[in-house]
Amino acid sequence: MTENNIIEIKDLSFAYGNESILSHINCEIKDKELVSIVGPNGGGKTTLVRLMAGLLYPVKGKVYIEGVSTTERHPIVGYVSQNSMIDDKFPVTVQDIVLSGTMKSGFGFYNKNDRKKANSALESVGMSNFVKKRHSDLSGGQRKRVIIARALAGGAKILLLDEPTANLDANSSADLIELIKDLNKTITVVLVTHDYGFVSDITNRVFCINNHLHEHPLKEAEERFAMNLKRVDHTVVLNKCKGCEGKQ
Amino acid sequence: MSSFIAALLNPDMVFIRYALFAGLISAVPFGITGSFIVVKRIGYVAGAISHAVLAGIGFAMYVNAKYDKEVLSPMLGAFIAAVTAGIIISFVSRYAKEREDTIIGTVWAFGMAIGLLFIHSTPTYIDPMSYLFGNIQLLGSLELKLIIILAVIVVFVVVLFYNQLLLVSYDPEFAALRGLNVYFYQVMLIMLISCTVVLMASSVGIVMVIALLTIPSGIASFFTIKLWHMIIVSSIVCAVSVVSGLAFSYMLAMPSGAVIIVVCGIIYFAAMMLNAIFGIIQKNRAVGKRDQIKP
Repeated sequence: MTENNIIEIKDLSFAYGNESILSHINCEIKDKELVSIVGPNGGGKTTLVRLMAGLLYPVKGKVYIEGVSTTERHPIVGYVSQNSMIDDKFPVTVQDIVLSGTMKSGFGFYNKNDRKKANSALESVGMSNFVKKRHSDLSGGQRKRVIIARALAGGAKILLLDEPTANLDANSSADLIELIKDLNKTITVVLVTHDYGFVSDITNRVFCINNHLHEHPLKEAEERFAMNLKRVDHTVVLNKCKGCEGKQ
Repeated sequence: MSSFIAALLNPDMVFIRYALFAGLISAVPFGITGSFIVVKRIGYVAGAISHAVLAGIGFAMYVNAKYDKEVLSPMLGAFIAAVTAGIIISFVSRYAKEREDTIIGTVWAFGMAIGLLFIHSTPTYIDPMSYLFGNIQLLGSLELKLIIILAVIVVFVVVLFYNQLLLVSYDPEFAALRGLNVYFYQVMLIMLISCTVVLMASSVGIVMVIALLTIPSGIASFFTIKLWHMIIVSSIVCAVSVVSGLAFSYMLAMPSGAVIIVVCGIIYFAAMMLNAIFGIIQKNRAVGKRDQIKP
């Protein structure tokens, strides 16, 4: 592993059955970088972050977190999926959710230290006053914060965020981006988004993915985003980019 | 009510005391697994297991009649059938890549059919109604001991793995990310359901045991925001339903299983109305507060 690279992806390929989703992906992400992944629907953005999280296994190639393959468990990786998996009717409070971030395999109860970590994580996302609230009573933005706090409570050094601003209004999205910016001072953030405009100010690098991966220089991404503002979907899924046109 | 209390104290009517003990002991495991069934919305799994139990009961009756002695207690037969059904549902849905509802439907109907065939083939006459809809006279001291053992196992396992079962129930993906073996906990939950179903199969019957698993937890879900609160309320509702159902069934000379479920159902509808009324009051208060804030 090259020094300072927290994530390394080497010749990664992935397929669902015979359908190739990702081909020969190579990239390195440095510690405390904030990287955005953009691309068209079905281009493989979510698949790539799920591979980084260790929720999927590559057909070929490897993903390394701090030099160790994702086939091993990595408690330093926090993953926030696009849609909350939590059923609205499930009787679970904010405290229950964040505490589960400290869960260890085996059996047992949460100890004082776990509770301390959970409280500190809730404080860092500005949700300390919602500890006793039921999950279903929270707004979309607050739910995202709680899920981020859960990842932080588990000691995440890498935060993988899949479309964090999806289904949020403009104000909540802006607040969440501010929070991500703050968190990025201490942890690495990988952000999947179709809405590059929201993250263009805070991102260090932009990867465009559509089966293949292509890194856009920041300036180029901004120019292309500006060009695409008139498009209905406001995305930075670009027409003449090798990465974006990759699917063959 | 005094006649029911007198019956409880009557040394010749030991079956009523057994039924009452069985109901009170079972209330806690019913509250626990029932709450998991309701929040995970897997009532159909419990339904399949409870109906498949008839295969074990039928087999036990057949073997006992054939050898003219008690080789296998019907309750033990029910337990074996429930665990087998649970294993089949867990295993086939994971490895055979079959549709889950197809497997559940198959286990449900196949178990009942096997049970009825055994009952039909038994040389002596057996009334299947007692097993389908419950009969408190089916409970003996051996059954009571088995109920106590199963109840202790269920409570012990859930207390030990409560946090893991909770996480696997509401977010299996994150549980996997934390290194939990999600499949192991899902199988554990199905096994706990299998054990619980057997506890009250004799008193309320295999058809109606599903109601006792879901209705008290449904009632508790109206008023609780944490799973363990739901478990406690559900256990209390279950105990109240069983005790009052047994009392009414004795006083009115009616089938115990049906009366217990009717009592439970009445509490459910009352709780639902109460919940709706509280909901309307809270909404009106919120609107009132909002109007006061308006300039």
